[in-house]
Amino acid sequence: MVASKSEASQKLLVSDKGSRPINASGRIPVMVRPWVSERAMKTLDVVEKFVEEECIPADPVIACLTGEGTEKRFSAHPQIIEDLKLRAKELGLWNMFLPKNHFKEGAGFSNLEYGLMAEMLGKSLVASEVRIFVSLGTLTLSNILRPGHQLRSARHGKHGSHRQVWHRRTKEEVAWKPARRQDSVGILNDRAGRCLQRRHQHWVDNAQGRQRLGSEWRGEIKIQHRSDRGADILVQKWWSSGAGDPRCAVYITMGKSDPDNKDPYQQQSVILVDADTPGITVKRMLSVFGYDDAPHGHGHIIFENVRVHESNMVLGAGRGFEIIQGRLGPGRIHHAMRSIGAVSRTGDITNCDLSNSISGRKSTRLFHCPCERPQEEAFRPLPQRARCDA
Amino acid sequence: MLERIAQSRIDIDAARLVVCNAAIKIDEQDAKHALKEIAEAKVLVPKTLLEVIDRTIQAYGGEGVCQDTPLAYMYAHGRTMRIVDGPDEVHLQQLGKNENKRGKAAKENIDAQKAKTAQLMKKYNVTKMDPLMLNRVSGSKSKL
Repeated sequence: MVASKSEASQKLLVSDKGSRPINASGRIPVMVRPWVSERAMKTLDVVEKFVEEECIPADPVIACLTGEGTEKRFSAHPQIIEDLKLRAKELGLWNMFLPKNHFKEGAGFSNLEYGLMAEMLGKSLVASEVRIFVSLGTLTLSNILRPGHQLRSARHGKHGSHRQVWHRRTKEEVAWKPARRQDSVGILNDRAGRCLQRRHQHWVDNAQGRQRLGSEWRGEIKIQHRSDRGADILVQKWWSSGAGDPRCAVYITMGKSDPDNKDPYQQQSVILVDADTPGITVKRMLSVFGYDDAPHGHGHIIFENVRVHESNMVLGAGRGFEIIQGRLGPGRIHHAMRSIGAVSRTGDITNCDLSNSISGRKSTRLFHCPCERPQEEAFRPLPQRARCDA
Repeated sequence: MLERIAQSRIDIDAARLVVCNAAIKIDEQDAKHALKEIAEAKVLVPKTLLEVIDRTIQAYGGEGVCQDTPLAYMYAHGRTMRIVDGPDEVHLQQLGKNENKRGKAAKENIDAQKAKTAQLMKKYNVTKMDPLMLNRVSGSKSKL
């Protein structure tokens, strides 16, 4: 961490007289407090302030700046997001997703400490993005970091020639935080987008979808030991997170490399694919209950005989399940705590409204419901509180 | 059936954590400082208890409600837990009131966020738009 500069910024932020009576570190359940370090508590308060005062107000602005129309929405990069990222860096809130028991590149927080911060981030839509805190990032980046991978693209001519994909980064970002491993520097400093695909099962297992697509789409990474050491990928993917963003530079692709292996857990492999490799079509974006989640989104993407260097295989052939499963646990903690944060925000909203109507001021709710009756008012916030805490 | 067992495990463990948390909170200072945690536990545990026993009774069918299993007695006994030592309503009322004290601060916070949003809208030169806005106006002439 860049100690002096970020510390100064943090101090400036937290010493503002806030309107919230107890800050986030004061609300940590007493039960888990012994496992939360002083440094994490301090950071947690900074995170809370940052989310409440800078991220939540920015959410509607980003929604406006993202605009209309699929093409536009998925190539929009509102400046405000970059500004917030810079601000996050300034506050030292960056790369906090790598649990300290596994990685040295992260900020050195435990899963619990990180979970508590994720809770704060869950309150805002943009908060995770600006801190590369996305669980997806959590999951996939740490997968890449673990094997310390070097990405090769087989299409680049001669045997053995390769290039690193992490090039799409700005000088200032590299300068900001030199990473220990050269090949992970770009991604740790953002800018190099990433996209995770592990949902091929959606159609491999789905009889209807399979019929629709024809039997040639078997979700396979066919490893053919060619002279150019290339691996061919033939697969369609639904729910490829982040595929809609044109900055997405790497596809972390999981597919069946050995579909006939007796051990079902040895059938899959994870392979890194440079987004510029020929044969990839980002066909469309999928909506979730009508929302497109632009510019991140969920892609339907087709790999048609995409050839990459076989050394792009993460950890080795047949180890896909292990890789993906290994990070799902921490990823779920992140999602769970984000959900807790998001649901706590309903408490803020209803409390705000309720205290208004109790004190005789007009409620801001458009439609009034029977729970408006005074004898029932006090009952409303509880189920939220109790369930958040349970 | 496996799902019911799993759900019951989740419910029991969640309730258990809430109780442990309340216990630690009391140990740390005293019961006065643990009002929230105690109320949470006092409401959640009997509720969980009844839900889980209810599921089990359902699984046993007729056997579950008669004297051949302890379930009916457990349910009856568990039901009183929602009343003794302060009924649910008392704890809910107290917890609700205390929660609601945050209202003023929450309102200030939300108002500040809205003001900041307005400021950012100006800075990034955007106006709030509802993409589904139609503003379709009916004819100007009355047909009567």
